[in-house]
Amino acid sequence: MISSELTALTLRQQSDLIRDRLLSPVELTEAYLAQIDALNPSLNAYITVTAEHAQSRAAHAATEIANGAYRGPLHGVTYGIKDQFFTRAAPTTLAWKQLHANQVDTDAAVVERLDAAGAILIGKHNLDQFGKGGATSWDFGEPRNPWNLAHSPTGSSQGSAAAMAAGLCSVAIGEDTGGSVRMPAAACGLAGLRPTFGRVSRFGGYLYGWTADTIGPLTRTVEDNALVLEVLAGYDVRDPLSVATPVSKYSEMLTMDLTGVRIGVVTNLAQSPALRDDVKHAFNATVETLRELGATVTAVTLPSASYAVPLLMLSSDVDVATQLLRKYLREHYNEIDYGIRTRLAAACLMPASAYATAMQGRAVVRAEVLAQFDALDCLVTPMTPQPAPILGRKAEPLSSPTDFWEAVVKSRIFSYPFSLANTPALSVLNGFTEAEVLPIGFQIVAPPFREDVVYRVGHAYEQATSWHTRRPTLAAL
Amino acid sequence: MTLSHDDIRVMARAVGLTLPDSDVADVAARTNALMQAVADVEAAFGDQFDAYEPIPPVLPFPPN
Repeated sequence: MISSELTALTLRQQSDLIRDRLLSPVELTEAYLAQIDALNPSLNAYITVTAEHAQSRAAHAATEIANGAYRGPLHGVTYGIKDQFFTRAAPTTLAWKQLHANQVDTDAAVVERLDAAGAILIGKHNLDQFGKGGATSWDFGEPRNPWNLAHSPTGSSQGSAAAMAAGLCSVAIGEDTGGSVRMPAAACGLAGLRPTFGRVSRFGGYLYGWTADTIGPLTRTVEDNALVLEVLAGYDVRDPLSVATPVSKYSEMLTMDLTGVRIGVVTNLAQSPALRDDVKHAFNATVETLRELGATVTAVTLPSASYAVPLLMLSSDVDVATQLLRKYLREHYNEIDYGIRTRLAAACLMPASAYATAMQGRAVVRAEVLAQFDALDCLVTPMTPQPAPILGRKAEPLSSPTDFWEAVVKSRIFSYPFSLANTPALSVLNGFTEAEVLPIGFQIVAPPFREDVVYRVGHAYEQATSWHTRRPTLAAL
Repeated sequence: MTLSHDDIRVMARAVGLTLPDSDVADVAARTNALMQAVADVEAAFGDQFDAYEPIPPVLPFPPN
């Protein structure tokens, strides 16, 4: 099998070959390194490639497996991680050149877990500076969407999504505050999970949005995603908001039958005038497929969905800006990207009363979202109103408060309500645009700690369709 | 109430930030927009607020 064929496989397919000793972790790692060499200059998906580290780990994994010490489905596969998580193997830059040599002497909890499962760190992914969406300049090059280089992979886990879609790692690990795993996953044709807040340890990274930051995998398929979450999830005493609830074998709970599953279609999002026609058509077809799979579909509304955007944005931006003000913003303001620094500066100026109001409002909206699950197993919505935006975005135009609702809320209303509610939410590929051949995604949301539900529904949908088998035309890059 | 550019400069100084002139208009627009948006939400929710405490959104599980 040639390199590009290996890297086009799903994680499960690679894993099965490794388990059966038909594929060596060394061969797989070399295939990825070759692919990164060939494509990363066009994509800017990686900030750092840990080639020597990966080769050493791959050789070790090969020896272990040859000796019968097989650790499980992630043994010998590769992963890349958003460059806001600490790794001993490489600096953690936050995509800011002033931190290019920022070597931290610890690994993030998720890195520890992946390493313990035998996965191989192959590099660190590009992102909007400081992990906040809205960057207008790129110290390590602007990431590009493998499906169409004129378009963005969408922030802030931009490099993670681009790397995964282009076959530059077996799994990518991103971070989602308002939608930064799910929206790039949709833009790049992937499955992307925001897990329940507290499900995955936040220890070991720049995770300053302490009431909303979550860590989730971006993968080719829902099954791959479930396999990775089984490794990432679990209580960690070093994260005070980590929750000690059992972690299921999600990948063993997947089925094609949705009989008895009660799905709510959030109509005020599904019928939003902000949706492009092809996104709307893809979503409507998806609902029909879910119904054909046996689900009971009901129309519901979330009247406060739009309020989630300013409430979460204000409060989490204040949390992040407060940390960055002390560490970098005062001393290095002019060295920070314009879009990021003005967003952070505005957050620094928020009165305490506005912050407290936002936190209180979050509780109101969260209650509205969670109440839906009294009668439903999950909710479905489109993931984004438009496909991936064109490159070269400038800061969002905010010349008046009206602009906020037009420019900021419309693009985030599909993801923020569920970030705020701390529910698990999964983005799944459900079509492509005709004009630009860009992926489209939809979102499945379940009650807290019911990741098994979003995976079950997402997997059943994938098995009934073939969108997830498509790959970008990499030869054109 | 809309904060002026001068208001924004003063508020920035209060937290130890010196904004370049090129950034003031954008920071002012963002600050005003976010504050107005949250005020709009507060007005829309009205008395509902009384039923909720502004606690961090950690789910009510027993202590670990």
